[in-house]
Amino acid sequence: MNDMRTVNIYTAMMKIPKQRWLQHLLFWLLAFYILLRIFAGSAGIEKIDVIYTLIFIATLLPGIYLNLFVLISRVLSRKRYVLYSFLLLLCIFAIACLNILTFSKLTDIILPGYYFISYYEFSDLVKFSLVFTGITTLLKLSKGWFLLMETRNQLARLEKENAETRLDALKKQVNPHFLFNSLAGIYSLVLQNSAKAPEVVLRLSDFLRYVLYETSGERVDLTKELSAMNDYVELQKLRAGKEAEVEIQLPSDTTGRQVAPLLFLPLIENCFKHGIKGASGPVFTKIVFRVSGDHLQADFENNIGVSADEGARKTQGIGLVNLRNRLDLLYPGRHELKISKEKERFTVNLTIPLYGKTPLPGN
Amino acid sequence: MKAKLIILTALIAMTMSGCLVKSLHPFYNEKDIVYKPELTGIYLGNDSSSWEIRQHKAFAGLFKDEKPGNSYDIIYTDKKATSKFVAHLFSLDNQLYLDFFLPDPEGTDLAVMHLVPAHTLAKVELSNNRITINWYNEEWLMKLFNENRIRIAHERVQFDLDKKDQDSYQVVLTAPTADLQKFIIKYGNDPEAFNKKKDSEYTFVLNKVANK
Repeated sequence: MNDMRTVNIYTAMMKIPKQRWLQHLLFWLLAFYILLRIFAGSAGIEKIDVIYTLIFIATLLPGIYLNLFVLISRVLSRKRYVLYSFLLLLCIFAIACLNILTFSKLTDIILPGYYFISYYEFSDLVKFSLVFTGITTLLKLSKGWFLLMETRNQLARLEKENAETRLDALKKQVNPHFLFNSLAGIYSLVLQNSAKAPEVVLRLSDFLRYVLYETSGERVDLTKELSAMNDYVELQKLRAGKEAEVEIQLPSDTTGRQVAPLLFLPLIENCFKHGIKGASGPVFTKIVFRVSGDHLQADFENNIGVSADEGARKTQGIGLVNLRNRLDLLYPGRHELKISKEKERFTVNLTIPLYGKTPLPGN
Repeated sequence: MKAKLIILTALIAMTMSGCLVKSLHPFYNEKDIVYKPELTGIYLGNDSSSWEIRQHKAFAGLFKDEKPGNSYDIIYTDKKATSKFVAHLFSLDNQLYLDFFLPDPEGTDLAVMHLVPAHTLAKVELSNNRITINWYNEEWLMKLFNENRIRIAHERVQFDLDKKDQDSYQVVLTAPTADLQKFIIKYGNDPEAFNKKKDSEYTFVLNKVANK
């Protein structure tokens, strides 16, 4: 209900002209009208009252805008409340003093031939000043609040869209061929009455559960992430055959460490897609994960398959470009990705910072 | 019932036809009052009028804590009549002024009930046995009001019901004493603010002829 009301107020606020100068002009026109009605005598509004009101407003402007553009944005926004209160008080007194000075002295210089005096006592002018600084401060803060609400709404929308996109992307990352091949491998093991069949089914189940349900956050537990990668490699071994040398080394000290989810999957996928598949010579894939201080180093090495077709190479290119983009977003200037290609060997070295040792809630 | 509740143009009794600046509020505060005993005496005006200035011993009644004896009774006599004013001598920004007030207007009770007491202001110069009184220039003030060049609380009051032109209106200042004083201090030295023409009916030069 409150949210609805907020949205309604926000919608109404958005109907106010967006140009800042127009908003200010409207405010001061309204202030001018109200003050003119206050200042005008019983005989009605005279030209002299208009001039007086204009000058009166002019004496308010420096203090009001000093508060709006300097004190609020540079002092209040930094939560220096005591200093802000002190400076605001000075500002209010300065407005009152400027008003007295203007009508006691300056009007004779600015408007010779006109006869003004300072009609209000200092205490009355302080009240005027207080009202105007109060109203303008509240307007400024409420405007900021509505902008904050708008930003929050946008963020919530973005997060939702992002989550949906991420889920969609993650689902697509599980290559259907990988699923079919894994199922075919399991089928084969079952036909052979292999004792490995239950273990492989469990690995596939664990891997899919992890990818589909545990990678929606910005960070995941490193142990779980590497365990899932290990499951993936083990499942790929079914497809690679006994001739392929597949090795994966996992670090021991991963407790409490966190990384962005599924960063390594495209690289491991590439090892099998472009190395094992279609190779005529010795095939190998070596994957090594090392924790070094606050960094994780991941090295991927595989032979280059001779029959890797044009489509596969393009997919690899896109996969690496996507990985680079993601790394730039996640670890701007704090990661290292080296890709090298020799005659028969393709190597990728990735170093990324690890997040703190505090375990994720619920993990 | 008389003086405090009612309307009056303070100087009706004088021969002038209501061309003095009138104010509902006094032009002085208690702290501004100056009493000079040497001012008392009998004076002759440049227009053959007679002025008797005495100490006003009773409480003047304007300020709660005002002590009696700080003001003057001025008995003014011209060719036609005699009137009695209470006047306060006061100083603003080192300049002496006299605030005239008519506490007991004459006439029938019904007539008096139609009057409100008003204050008038004159700048005062004192020299050896001579007092020069320059009245606040109503003509100058009216001109400023008509030209919309002055801003001070006032009312335009129609005095002559048989006329419709501007001359039938007079200005009565309704500003509080504080504003009146600010205006006098700021613009009191304006060359036109106070009548200074020697032949003007609003400038009196009084010469002392006897001490009272």
